[in-house]
Amino acid sequence: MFLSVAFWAILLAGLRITVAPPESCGANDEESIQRAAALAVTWMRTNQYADGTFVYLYYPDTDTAPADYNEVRHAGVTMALYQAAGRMQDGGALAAADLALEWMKKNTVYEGDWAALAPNGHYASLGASALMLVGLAERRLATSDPVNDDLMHGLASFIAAMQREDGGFRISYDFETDQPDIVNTSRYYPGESLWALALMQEAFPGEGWDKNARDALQFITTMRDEVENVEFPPLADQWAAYGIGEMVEWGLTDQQIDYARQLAARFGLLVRTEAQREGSWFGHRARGRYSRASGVGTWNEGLAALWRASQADPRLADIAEPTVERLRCVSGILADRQVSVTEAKAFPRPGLAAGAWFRNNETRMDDQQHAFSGLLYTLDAIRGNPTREPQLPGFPRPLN
Amino acid sequence: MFASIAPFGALAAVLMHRAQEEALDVDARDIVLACVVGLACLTVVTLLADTILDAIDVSGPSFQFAAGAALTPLAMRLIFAGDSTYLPERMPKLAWLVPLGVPLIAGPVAIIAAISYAARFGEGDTIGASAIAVSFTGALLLAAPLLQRFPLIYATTVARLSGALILVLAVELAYDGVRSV
Repeated sequence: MFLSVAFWAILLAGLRITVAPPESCGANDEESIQRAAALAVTWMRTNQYADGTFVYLYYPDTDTAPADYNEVRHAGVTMALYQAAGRMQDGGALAAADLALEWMKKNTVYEGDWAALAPNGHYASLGASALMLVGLAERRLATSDPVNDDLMHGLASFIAAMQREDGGFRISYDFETDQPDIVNTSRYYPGESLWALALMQEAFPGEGWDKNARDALQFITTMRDEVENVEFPPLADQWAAYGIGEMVEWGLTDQQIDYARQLAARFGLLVRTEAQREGSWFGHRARGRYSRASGVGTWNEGLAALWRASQADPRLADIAEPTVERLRCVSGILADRQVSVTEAKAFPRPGLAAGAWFRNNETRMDDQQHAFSGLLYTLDAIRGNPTREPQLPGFPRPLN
Repeated sequence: MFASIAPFGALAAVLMHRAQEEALDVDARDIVLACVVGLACLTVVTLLADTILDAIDVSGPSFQFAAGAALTPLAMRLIFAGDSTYLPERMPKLAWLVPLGVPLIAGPVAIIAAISYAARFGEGDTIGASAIAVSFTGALLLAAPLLQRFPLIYATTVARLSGALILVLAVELAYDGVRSV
């Protein structure tokens, strides 16, 4: 009997350490999440250069901000600022996003009815143009301003032209040689394009963008993981989740609903694992180092989009409650890890630290972007608001 | 719940105990009381499942994954030994409490499964399933004097098969834990 008790004690202790270490979800109350989101917006707004670009990387140990840059992430940060403008009635965010948009417009190549973001003048990656289009769609939702409608159509035409017959996409186009890249593929560009096309359909119904979006979703849900050799499918792709959240009202197939459920489970597993890293020293040892905010934030974004889908389609109703639980958890983790205004005073340049998330002494602008978007839409799930779009008829308001 | 209580493993354990020369018979009253104790234990942990998970800071799916792993030793014991637990030759005075109520009926695996299923399917379904499984186990154990007339290998063979079933359930439980939000 003693041996049996000892055996079970050792076994359960072993499981506790290796399989189910304690999970910690930080300060996951609504107020903390909202405060963290607002502070992230402040970082994006204040760490912008006069030409519209943002601080891409910052290393506080050497107090350096390298000159590296990435146009896809630039478009992503711009998109997040437009989300802040629309949903938080933040006039400062709108101004910063418009300045960032000007940089993108200056780096846009036009050919025929196409428009594509190509900072070097000839090489246009699909992801940059897709996120630029998402940003413009967010701006349109926030301001009802149609001034960029032609540009949106140009970008959408470019994305549609890059789409293959199987619904997947060519990942870039070289305007010098007038050839798309027919060799390489991308894990995330299809999801970004899917969401851009879905938003295009929402903005301009009746123009047929839904056909492209549906083809893209079919590719993502049936072929993408295989094409990209994803070891543990489905790929944790928040862009696909955004697309599903947008398209769920159009009607999804059972297979696509099943994919959405699997995707939510993948994000949920990642969140639980991250919470285990937070929960105890042995959990931290067993699960390895913390993920960076640009990763954790995408799980947040993906889960929030799928929560929205669960509100619109009864076939996903069963994931609603656990999804909110995970969203609260991952948002609490992010809120805890963010550098507060007080903590930032210990940094060489407090303005580059306040509101940022660091890992290995580094923050990158998309850490703030993804974390912010995830926190913003988590608040919707907590409050039970299934509408992602801003409901602000009087916007834009005076600048802050 | 049926698999985690392993009625045929419990039957084999009781039959093996009864086959021992110095064994004192376990009477019907002990069996009934053991079932009451076992069911009470499982009901309590089911009702306290959320509290327990909160107390140990583990989410339902993570616990479920661990529960799958915890089922494995029971499955191995059933497969290789043909019973679910060892019953001593000399039963203690309160045999209906230990070892019959706990761990024969409500063993660690059944308790872990009850917590896991309560989080997954709800308390009512779990208590209902526990009641059915415990009643069936009790009926089998009450019939032990009759079943003792048959060769022990019949009971141990069924127990070994149920061990294989538990192994499958363990994998399913762990897999579902990973595939849950």
